Amino acid sequence: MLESESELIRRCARGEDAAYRELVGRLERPLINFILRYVGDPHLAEDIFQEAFVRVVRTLGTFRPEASLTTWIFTIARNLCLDHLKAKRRHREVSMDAQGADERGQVIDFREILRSALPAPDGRAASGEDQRRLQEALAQLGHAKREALSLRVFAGLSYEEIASIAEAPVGTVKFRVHEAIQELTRRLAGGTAARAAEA
Amino acid sequence: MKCDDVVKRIPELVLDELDVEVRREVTAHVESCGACRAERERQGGAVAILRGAPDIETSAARRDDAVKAMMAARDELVERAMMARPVRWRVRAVAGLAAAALMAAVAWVTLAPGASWRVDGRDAVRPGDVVTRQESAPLTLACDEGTVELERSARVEVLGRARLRLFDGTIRVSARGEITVLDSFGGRVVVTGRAVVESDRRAVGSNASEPPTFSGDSLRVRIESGHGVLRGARGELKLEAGEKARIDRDGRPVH
Repeated sequence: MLESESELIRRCARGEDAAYRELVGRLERPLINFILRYVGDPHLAEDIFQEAFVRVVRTLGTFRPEASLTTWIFTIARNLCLDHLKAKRRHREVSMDAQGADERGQVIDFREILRSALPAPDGRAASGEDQRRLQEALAQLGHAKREALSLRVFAGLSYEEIASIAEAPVGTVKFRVHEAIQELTRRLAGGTAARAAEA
Repeated sequence: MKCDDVVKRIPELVLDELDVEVRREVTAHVESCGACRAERERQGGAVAILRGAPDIETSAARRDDAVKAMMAARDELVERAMMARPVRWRVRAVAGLAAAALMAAVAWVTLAPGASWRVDGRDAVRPGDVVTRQESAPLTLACDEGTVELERSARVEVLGRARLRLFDGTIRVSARGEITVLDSFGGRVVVTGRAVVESDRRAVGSNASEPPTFSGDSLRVRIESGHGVLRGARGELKLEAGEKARIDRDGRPVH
């Protein structure tokens, strides 16, 4: 039988290795699935996953016993994802050479090309055309919609839990998920229509 | 129910979130209306693709890494707590002021861009930056855990504190604590000591009109002193001074 959250938190607060292991084991699957679908980069997802648990240890003293452990840890992970996405937006190319750019003065960013060569997020070969299109469509969703959809579909959280993590009313979160479904449908249908036209 | 009302409810219908009564009404309308039925099928298809997305495999290595990181964070907290000693109030007041000043300085450094890594005599580097080096003289990136020298043609992305991603070229790592270097295809090396880390990703056709392609994609490491862990998607090797190894295309570390 699973021990209660409050007992697990108490053991984590005492610094028990077994409690850490239990906590990571319980949340691994939903948390890594959420993080990966949110940030879209397998390596970054692994780093954020690990960093989230380090934050748990560092901030366990601030955890309110009446709060949900799952919600709290997903909130930490979600904030780390947002920090990384913000950092990515303000990304800049830093050439440390006198002649850092190419002959035409352009700085070329290979990162997207490198990322596109990565294996599918689950570590296996691409699992079909549908999944490739899904990844593209997810990447085009706005942050708030992608976050709500990932927490709902890939992490399996309730709307109340998502509302707590996203610091938004339940109605807003539902609206975001439903909008995300409609937007994904349009994008996936758009891709199909484009291929049909090419054929 | 009219079509406008039903269309708004279709996401809830395909996600199976409607209560019984509303579901009955919406379903009845959808069955009798070709346009709404088509919309339900489109959205239902999208949800089926979403739910068919393969879960990421659970991984003992991932869980072990997370637990080890938690233990390290705990030990750090314990060490800090042990450092605290009972002191008289005057000393405590002075120490408090000093601590406040130190915290303000640390906060500034933490918030200031580029606090994680520094470049000798140049602008600071912050997470998300890609640092390139084409000139022959090495360039040093420094963080609290140690230093990384970028050799000629090295190209790295700063991921965070003591974490880098090596795209191509060669770097030399001198780690006092631990520095983690990732390769874009899944190789990871954790260095404690001094090591040479190389990636054989090489760009071909590097101009804007001709997107570069890459030949080869392995990560190699040679430990000069101290020790390191070479970790791929399919295993890991602990390396001692003088040893070298690489990660193959399948993510296996090979001596």
